[in-house]
Amino acid sequence: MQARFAHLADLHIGAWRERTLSALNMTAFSETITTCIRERVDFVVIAGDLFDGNLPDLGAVREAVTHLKRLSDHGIRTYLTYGSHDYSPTGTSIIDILASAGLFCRVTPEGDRQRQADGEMLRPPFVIDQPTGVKLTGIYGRKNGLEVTLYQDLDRAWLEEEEGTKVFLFHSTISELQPAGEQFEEGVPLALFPRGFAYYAGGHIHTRIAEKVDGYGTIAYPGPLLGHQVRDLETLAAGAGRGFYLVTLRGGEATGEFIPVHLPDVIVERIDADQRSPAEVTALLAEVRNRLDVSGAIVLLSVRGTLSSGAPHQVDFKEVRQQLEADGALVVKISRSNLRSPATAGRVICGENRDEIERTIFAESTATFSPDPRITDERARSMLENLTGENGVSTAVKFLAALEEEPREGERKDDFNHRVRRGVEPLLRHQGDC
Amino acid sequence: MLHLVQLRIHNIRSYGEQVTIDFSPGISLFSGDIGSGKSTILSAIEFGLFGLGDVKSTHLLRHNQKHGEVSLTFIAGEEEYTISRTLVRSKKGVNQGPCSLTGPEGEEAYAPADLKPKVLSILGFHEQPDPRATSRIFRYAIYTPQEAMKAVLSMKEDQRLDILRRAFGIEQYRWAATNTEEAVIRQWLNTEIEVFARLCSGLTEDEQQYAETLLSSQLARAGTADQAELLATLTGAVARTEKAIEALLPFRESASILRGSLPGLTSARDARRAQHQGLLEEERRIDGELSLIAGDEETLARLMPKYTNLLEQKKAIAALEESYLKHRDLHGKEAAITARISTEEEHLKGRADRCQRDLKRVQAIHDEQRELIRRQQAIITALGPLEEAVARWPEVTTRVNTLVQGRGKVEVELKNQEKAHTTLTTDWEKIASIGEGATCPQCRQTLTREHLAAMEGETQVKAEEILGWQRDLSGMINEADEKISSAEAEQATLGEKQQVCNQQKTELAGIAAGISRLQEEKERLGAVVNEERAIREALSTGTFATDLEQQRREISLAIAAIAGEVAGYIHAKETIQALEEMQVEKTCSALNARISTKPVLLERRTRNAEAIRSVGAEISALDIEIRAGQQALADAGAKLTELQDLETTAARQRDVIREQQQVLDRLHREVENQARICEDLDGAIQEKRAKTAMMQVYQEQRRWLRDHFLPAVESIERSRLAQINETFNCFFQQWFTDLIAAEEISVRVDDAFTPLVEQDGFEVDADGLSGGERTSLALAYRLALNTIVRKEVGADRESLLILDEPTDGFSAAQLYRLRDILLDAGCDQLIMVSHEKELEGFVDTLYRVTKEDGVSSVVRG
Repeated sequence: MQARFAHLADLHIGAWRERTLSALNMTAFSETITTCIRERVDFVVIAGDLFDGNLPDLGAVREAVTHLKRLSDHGIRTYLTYGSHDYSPTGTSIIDILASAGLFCRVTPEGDRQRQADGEMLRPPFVIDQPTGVKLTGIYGRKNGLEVTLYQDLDRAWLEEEEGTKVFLFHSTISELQPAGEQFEEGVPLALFPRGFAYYAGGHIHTRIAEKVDGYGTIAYPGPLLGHQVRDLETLAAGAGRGFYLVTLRGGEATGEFIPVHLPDVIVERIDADQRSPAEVTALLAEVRNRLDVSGAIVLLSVRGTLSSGAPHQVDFKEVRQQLEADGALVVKISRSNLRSPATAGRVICGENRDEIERTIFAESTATFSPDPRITDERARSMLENLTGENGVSTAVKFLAALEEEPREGERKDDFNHRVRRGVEPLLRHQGDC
Repeated sequence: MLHLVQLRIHNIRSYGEQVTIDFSPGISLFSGDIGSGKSTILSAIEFGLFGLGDVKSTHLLRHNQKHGEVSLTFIAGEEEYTISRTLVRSKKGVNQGPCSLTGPEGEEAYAPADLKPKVLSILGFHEQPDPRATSRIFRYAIYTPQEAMKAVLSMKEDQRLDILRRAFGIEQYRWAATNTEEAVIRQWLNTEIEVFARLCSGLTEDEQQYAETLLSSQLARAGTADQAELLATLTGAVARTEKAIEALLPFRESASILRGSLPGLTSARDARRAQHQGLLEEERRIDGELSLIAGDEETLARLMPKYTNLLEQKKAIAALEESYLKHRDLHGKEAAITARISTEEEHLKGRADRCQRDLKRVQAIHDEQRELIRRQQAIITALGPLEEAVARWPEVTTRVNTLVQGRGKVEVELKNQEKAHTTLTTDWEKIASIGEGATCPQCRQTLTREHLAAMEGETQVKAEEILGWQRDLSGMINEADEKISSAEAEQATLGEKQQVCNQQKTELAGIAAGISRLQEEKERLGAVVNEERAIREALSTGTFATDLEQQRREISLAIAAIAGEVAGYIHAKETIQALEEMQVEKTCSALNARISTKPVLLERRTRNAEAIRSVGAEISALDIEIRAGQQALADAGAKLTELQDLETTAARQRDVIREQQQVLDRLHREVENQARICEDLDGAIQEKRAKTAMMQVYQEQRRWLRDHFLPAVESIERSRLAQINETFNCFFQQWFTDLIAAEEISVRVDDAFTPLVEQDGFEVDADGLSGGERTSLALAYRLALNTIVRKEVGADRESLLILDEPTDGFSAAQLYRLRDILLDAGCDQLIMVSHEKELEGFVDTLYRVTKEDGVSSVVRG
């Protein structure tokens, strides 16, 4: 028996809120579908997270359905399972809806019906691709690795005993295959997986992995296309190939070929804004713009650090974005969540309410004030005493209250200044009268 | 903060007759179909509070109505206010009519433009009234119309932050800072400092000058004290000197007295001494006299016989004295005649001598005459040839003159000839130079060679003639010269002879005069010879005194007659004379006289001796007195020297004191002057110090404001903003998350309160959000904002939030969640307008808004 199928995973359709990224992902998906059709695969397996949510934007669903329909139109069957994103415990995920419509075959049962009765081992059923006779089964993924319990209850012996060329769909991290440096939720130990399958079609890990493991056959993760998060773009920028595996099953053996898809370049720029003013950072961004050829690329600008002055919002990100887009960037994503103003960098908030904050800060400021020791005049010194220590705090508070004045409608500037002065005069004069 | 009580509307949009809505606390929902007039209620509330703003008046006043009214009662702070506003339609359009505000102080009418600031003030909205908007704070914190609900997300950052700062009361810090900088520091303190700086400028210089003046004043004072001390010392010294002088002054008087008395004493003593001497001499004289008297008595005793003889002789003589006198008379006569004879003889002898000298002179004259005559003869003899020679003088003179004249004429001729020769030669040279063929200047004929040769020959002949004549003339001159010379020599010889002749003539005249004179004298002496002869004769014969001889003889006879008597007389006389020569009588008389004085003398001697003793004693006394006086004077002299020295010293000291007093006065004046300067300076310094102190106070206050207050205000602003931002973020994130329950995106506001939707830290464009997400975002933002504003204004209890269709795009699940959120938001009064029936389930008060026949109505149900 020989069969060829495409192994896709983590397509996360509808993930990107940016239309362009969403479109790019969709284009990649479309290209994948086109390749599958061209390669005359027997079927396509999608190892979870076809959609980014269980109820994604219907526009994206509609488009995805169009492409999936092309497969079925070419007689190519699609088998899939829930991923952690498009799983719905109630069985109301878009997956279920589309599965119900016959657009594809959900390998795993709908919703949480995969669960077995208490005390029973889990025996997920096999779906047989009739033309090829390949038997498919698997375990869906859930958020936070909740699916691990299913593995623990899995009747592996029962699965292993099944005859034929078997493919196992899953959407979990196999602990042993977890890529270095990537800390997913607790993975599923390989030992919990049934042995003897020709191909283990994995999803969830957004890194391409294909390994032949003794007793298990080929275990593979094709990774996402564009992914659904910035990190996916960053790994893409780091050179990760994106695409799918074209798997050939021959004699119970699976051989996989990675078929890349075309994705735009991703440019990641990390701007160190530490101890720079907003204007300097803006200038730095302009410099970056001049340096880079962003045409047709996805640009990720990550600006971080603590500004020397001002506030992050004073950096003209909008302008930078517009300019980069004008330069031909497909998408410009900016991260400034790690850009801080000096005000917020330190201990800024020093009280629960206005009065507390004012008194605390005035206390700090007046604590460091001491009249010029060269002033020896008693009256002068006594006048200045009200500016130091506790007196200073009280004076400052009164001063602040007296100065919080705005010009009245039609009030002349001089009159206003005079009014302000009259308000504070007693506070300074008053000390003089002491 | 605001709490609505009642709204009455009349002819506002779809509302016709007056509709009164009483608001309740808690959540109220105006529910009704779209277009039923729900939002009109909210518009009416906003109009009631702030007037039209950006709402068109025509949009509010009910169609075809001329007058509309909104009356809103609300509670702000603790007070209840009612605002009434009207809309009036006129031909020009719809405008706001009369307004009024009823508050704790009663009802007051306002112009629409004035009412708005008042309301803003009542609500505590620190914002500038904007005629084109109602109230930005109200729009942000309390009510956002449905269409503006999501505008919060796309608003410009600056604009949003500005509104929020005002809503949070943060803007006041900026005003405080601006006012501090401008009104307080720049307009006031800087001016004051500048003024005070000007007023107290030069303080350092003044202080320095004061210190210097003080120092010099102290020095001057010290100098004054020293000077005073010096003066006191000097005064003491002078006092001592004066005292010493005073002590010595009596010496001056006594010395004066002594000096006055000493000469008296000395002279007295001298007088006494002289007197003493006189007395001694007197004594000696008396002793002498007594001694003489003793001798006299002895002598007298011896002389007595002689004296007796004398007396006898004197008696005799008296008898013979007549004869003797006669005898003496005769002798006298005889002697006189003898003398007369002798004198006559002597006279004749003298006469004879003079005659003898005249005879000798006559002889001499005779000899002189003879000599003169001989000389006369000699001269006369020599004079003859001389006069002869002299007679030739005029002739020789005439000859010389004639020769000289002749020579002069010859010389003139010679010169004429020389001139003629020269003229001839010159004329020829001219003609010769003209040459052949020219016209002769003399004869006006053309010159030919022959003519020239003839002329040359002729000229040479003439020249020879002239030269010959010249030679002759020269010879004549020489000859004349020789003659003249000879004549002149002769003339000179004759001159000399003439002179000798004249001399001899003069001598001859003198001799003649001499002879004449001698003759005269000879004649005068002619009689002398006879006279001399007669005298000699008389003398030799003695005939010259016959009478006298006769008389002498007669007398001699008389004398001889009385010779005996005379001899007796003479004898007596001689005896007497002898005795008298022995001065017997006289001596006796004298002796007796003297002896008779002896007792007187003895008495005188006794008196004298007494006087000598007395005077001696006086002298001794005077000596003692004088010595004592001298001693005293000597002593006094020493004292006087001392006194003089002292007076000199005192005078010097007084001079010094005067000088030093002047110095002291000068020092005093200086001290006074410096004290005055010091006082003035001190005054100025005190004043400037006071001004400096004030300036320093202003400077320090400025420093305090600049370096402490303003940074603190800035910190406070930052801190408050950060604190508000933090609190805001808490509410915002929480409520947003609650509303959308989407894990992949998060929201936050940045420091400008810009809502940011982020996915993996990267911003997500708002366009990428679903409608429900956007509504949730706006609602969460509004709720957070409202909560913060209430919190910041400190009026949690009286809080109003108006939500206009807040659930657009919400799912049913979100609508359910909204209830919890609204309760969580803790608004005291929440007014919602929504067509979502689902909301009716959890509201406290439900107002159903319906519209029938174009007229809206509100029913509380």
